[in-house]
Amino acid sequence: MDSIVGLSILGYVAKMAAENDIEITTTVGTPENQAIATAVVSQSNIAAGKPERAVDVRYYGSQFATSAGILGIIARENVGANIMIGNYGADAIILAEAAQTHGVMQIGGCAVPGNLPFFMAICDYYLMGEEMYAAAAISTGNPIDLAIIAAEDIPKWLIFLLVVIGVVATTAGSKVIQTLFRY
Amino acid sequence: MSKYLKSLGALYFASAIALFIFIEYYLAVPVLSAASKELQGFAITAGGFAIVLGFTEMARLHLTRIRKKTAKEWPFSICLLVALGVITILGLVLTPRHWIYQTLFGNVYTPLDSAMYALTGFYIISATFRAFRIRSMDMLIFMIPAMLILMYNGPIFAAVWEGFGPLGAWLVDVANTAALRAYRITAAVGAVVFTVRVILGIERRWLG
Repeated sequence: MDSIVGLSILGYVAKMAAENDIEITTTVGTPENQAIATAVVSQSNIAAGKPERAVDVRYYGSQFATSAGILGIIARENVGANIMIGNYGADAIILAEAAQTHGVMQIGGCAVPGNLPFFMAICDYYLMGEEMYAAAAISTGNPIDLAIIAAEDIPKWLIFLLVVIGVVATTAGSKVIQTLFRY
Repeated sequence: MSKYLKSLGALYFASAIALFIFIEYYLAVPVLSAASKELQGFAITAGGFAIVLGFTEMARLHLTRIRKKTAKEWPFSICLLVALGVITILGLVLTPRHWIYQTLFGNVYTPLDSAMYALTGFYIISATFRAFRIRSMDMLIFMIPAMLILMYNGPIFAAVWEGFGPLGAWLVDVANTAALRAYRITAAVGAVVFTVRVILGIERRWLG
């Protein structure tokens, strides 16, 4: 699912890049995504009225082979911005930290909790878990999508409230919340 | 128009399969389960074809670099294409179980992969150093518990003030667990909503 979110955001970024004549290089971790990403970038170019623009989507192989490939791009191709949204593992910190060392502006987004502190510490902007899914919807500007995201905030606030009550109750020595939600 | 219809066809096809897998999960009818397993098998086959596509695209990109003699890059492209060609031919001719293939894989690819993974350790140190520079309110919130946990884990701090023990334990057992669960639950809510949008065809940019 995270890959689909990444592809959705790629569509938005590729369209903006085409409109502003900015080169965009896309790297994918799986060969399935290469075909889809190529179609996404190509369609974004058409949507921006520039179908002649080159489509640069690269697949490098395994997780760390991809990391090595991306490190090469960052080091050699004068990258201005690095947008990392999708399903990342241990490679997240390697890529983000290398890009930061080269002074690249970064936006990170990942739903894996273990990667969150790294993205928070390294990236200029970051999307935490659910924000990543929301970003894919908000970037469309479609009223239906925006309504869905607004409606999603209601259960989120309820969960937040329960967490606060749970923390206070547990600190006070009560196990009411744990008992209530144990199954 | 044909491109639009093609995109619409792909959307309906993807939505129908996603809906089928979704329904099968909840109903658990043996016939549906068997069909679902078959469909997931198709995904593996499609993935196999995609590897060929990825391989071709990678070769095309690097051949272009060599032809254009792209500055700083074309020698690496030669290395990549040689490695790609050698390992593919060896795999096809001798099979991946042959000792030459196994030696190349085990003595070249595996150590290089491990070396990349080992880089993570060094990057964690530099990322930690970066995290300790407070750039925003978020980083301050991030930093205070990090310092407390650092003190909780260092015995010298507990010797200075006993309160670090219970405070650190509270942060780990209560605050951290609660926040992590909230994060996971909200991320799951977001993922469910996004999945429904994809299945219903509201989110369709991922199709190109």
